Amino acid sequence: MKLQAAALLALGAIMAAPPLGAAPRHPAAPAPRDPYYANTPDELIPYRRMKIKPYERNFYAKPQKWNGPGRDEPDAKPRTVRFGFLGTLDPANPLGAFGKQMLQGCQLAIAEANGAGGYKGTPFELMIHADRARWGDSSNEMVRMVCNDQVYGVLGSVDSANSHVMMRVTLKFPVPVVNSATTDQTLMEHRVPFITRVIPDDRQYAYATAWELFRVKHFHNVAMIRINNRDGRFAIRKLVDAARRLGSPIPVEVRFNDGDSDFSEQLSHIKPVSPDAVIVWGNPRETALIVKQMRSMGMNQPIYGWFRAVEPDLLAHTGQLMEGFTAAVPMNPTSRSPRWTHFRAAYLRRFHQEPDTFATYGYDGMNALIGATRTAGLNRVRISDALEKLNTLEGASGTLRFDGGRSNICPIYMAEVRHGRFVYRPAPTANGAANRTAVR
Amino acid sequence: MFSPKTRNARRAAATAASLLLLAHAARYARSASGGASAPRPSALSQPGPAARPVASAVGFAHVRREAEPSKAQMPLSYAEWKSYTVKDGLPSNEVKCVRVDGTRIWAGTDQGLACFENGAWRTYGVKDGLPHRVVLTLEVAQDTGDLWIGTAGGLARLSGGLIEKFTQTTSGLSNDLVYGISCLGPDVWVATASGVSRYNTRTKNWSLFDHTNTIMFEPWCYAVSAHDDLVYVGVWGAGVVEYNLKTGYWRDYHDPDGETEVCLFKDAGITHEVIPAVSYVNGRLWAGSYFGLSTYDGRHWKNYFKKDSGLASDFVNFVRASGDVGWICTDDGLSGFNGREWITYRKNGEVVRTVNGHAVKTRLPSALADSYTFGVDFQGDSLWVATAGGISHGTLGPAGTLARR
Repeated sequence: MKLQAAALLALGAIMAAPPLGAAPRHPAAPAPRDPYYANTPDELIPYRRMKIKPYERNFYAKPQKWNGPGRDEPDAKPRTVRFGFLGTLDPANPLGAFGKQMLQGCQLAIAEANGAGGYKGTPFELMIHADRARWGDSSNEMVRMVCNDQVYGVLGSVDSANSHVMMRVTLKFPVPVVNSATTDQTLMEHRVPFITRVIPDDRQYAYATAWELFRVKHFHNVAMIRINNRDGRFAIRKLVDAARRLGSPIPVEVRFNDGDSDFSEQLSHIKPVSPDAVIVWGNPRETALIVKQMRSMGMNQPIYGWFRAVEPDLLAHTGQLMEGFTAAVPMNPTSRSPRWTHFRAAYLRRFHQEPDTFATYGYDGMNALIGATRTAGLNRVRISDALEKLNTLEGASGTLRFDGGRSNICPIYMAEVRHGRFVYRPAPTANGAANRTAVR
Repeated sequence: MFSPKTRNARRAAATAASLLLLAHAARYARSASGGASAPRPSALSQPGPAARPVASAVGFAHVRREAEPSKAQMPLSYAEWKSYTVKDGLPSNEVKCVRVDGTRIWAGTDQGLACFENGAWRTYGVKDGLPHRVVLTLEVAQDTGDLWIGTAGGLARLSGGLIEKFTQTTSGLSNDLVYGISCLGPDVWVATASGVSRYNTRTKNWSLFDHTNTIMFEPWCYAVSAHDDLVYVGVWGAGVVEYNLKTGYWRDYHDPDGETEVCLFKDAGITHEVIPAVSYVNGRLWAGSYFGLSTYDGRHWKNYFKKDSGLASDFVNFVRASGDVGWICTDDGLSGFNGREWITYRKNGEVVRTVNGHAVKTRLPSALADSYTFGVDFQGDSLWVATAGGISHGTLGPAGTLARR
């Protein structure tokens, strides 16, 4: 085991580029929390026009403190400091490619941390578990990670269903979880104080997309076709609400299944509405096929999509047809920031592949776990406490800012296809939202 | 404060009242079990014809233990607390659940199962046949006396001293992570991380209820409570679902305002879609969430928050009702509520009695082992509480009436 540990450290030292120093900063006195949950713009706050004040306006304004056991347990002295990874790794699964990139991002973070000495000389080790098609299996994997692997934290998962299952387990088995890929806003809406999300959630994309559609472009008639799974169902919920609150309710919403190839039935319901624009909420393959079929049907409306579609595959199969396609995305991969540049180079060197959103946030999320562990010591509850205290985190994706619900509410971007490639610009900010972010 | 003379007089009166209550409880226990001499099956006794009565043709033979009338229809003042920890023989101080079976107390911990009987703890672990060392929930089948054990690695039945395992690969159990169990007649209802399973102990048949064949739109079940003709399931992200055994219909109850961060009107419905605790007794549903407590009498919902009631904390881990009194296990103490009065106990001996928003604090010399409470059950007029620091036994005492003021 000692040899294995030494080998892990040595491997980390060889593979790692100079350490990012991405350890989280822990201000002595945390700044006041944003009173507005999820950076919600004024015009999109639920029931804001009601004259009667809601009995409880914001359940998530304050982080929930863990009053349970575990904080006083002494630090263990393991041979390796283990973190769990739970993600979709089956290449046949539509999310498998995302899971692979997320895993690689984590592996790079672990290698760099080991190159910088691990945890006080003890190497970090990643325990890799794959989630399965059946949702319940994730709970069994979580139990194995906590009880058998003795991990100090877990990063995962890709889809919201598995991530929810993970979350529920933590209340019975307190262990910090960092989510770097699931954008379902409800994942954080329960007060279980063990999860931190480093990727901006669907609320952020919904607010930005709605603002662009209805306030910047001044569209009024926007149709929607979206993936028929849990991710799709929750992802569009706030977008549909936002459209209604901004005075332009979505007239048509049709669904498709992952893996579908023929969308003529759904598009036949959208075409008669003559929409100003169409929201296509799906993964890259289905989005590309839908756009192709729309254009072949003479539907030349502007198309807005999901950040998950913003992948090289999207452009590879559609040529000029994607021109003008726009999506709200969490980060800007054309950034020239030193952290991003360093991460991208190290990732390319190690995996011979461009890092995508999932790789980047996997890397940032694992660095958050590593940093919290170095701050708090080898105690799960104290590591969770350290993550809870995070106000900001400098990562490869940019500067992460956390709200009272432990979600990253950093400013996001719009990716637009121009001349066959994605061009990035800051997402339009609704009234008041930008200032609130600055307060944090 | 009272003068010594007054205090002694009150103490004597309280003792007399306690004795009367205990006598009443003993009388009730005798009548409920069909007479003092009627033998009662248990998980540890050898199975036999006498130990396994068959359900009657006209109804379930089980004793409605949860429907026992409360010995006093208001939160009792448990003035004396005795706690048990690893020093006393518990396998771990982290006690995740507790169930009373007559004179026997079962405790599920993160390091195995423990049984308190005749003043000593006996432990059961994986080597004894448990599917997993972490025991999350316990239930006693009243008609057979079997103990059903929900663990992080499957379901088990302790019957006649033997442990039988049920897992998702060896039985019809829908998932190995078992969060809640409720027995009703021959049926064992099991809330798991992926749906509710029902096991009929007579036919040995399993049924699975989840998002594919019921009204629940998420399968993540956290708690189940079956009583009379209704089964209530607390679902993570899908509120409360109700199954009517007579009609076979499902019904669901959701946060009526549709926004998880908002509670628009106080008593419009359940406060939140994440429901980790349910208890259905005497026609009243008690539903706990991490955002307060809800009750439902079949017509009206009422919600209680820390800010407007005597609830110890909005973070509710578990609820169990006895008669019209509900006991709520939170992350910051144990609260009892009878619809009018609240009483809350904490680790530091603090007792808070709240009536009509007016709270009176007292302090007891003995206290709960920890304020983080996981479970509660009743033994006559006493209370057993599973906490993060051991298991606590609350009994009535002369000082109890002092706390009651």
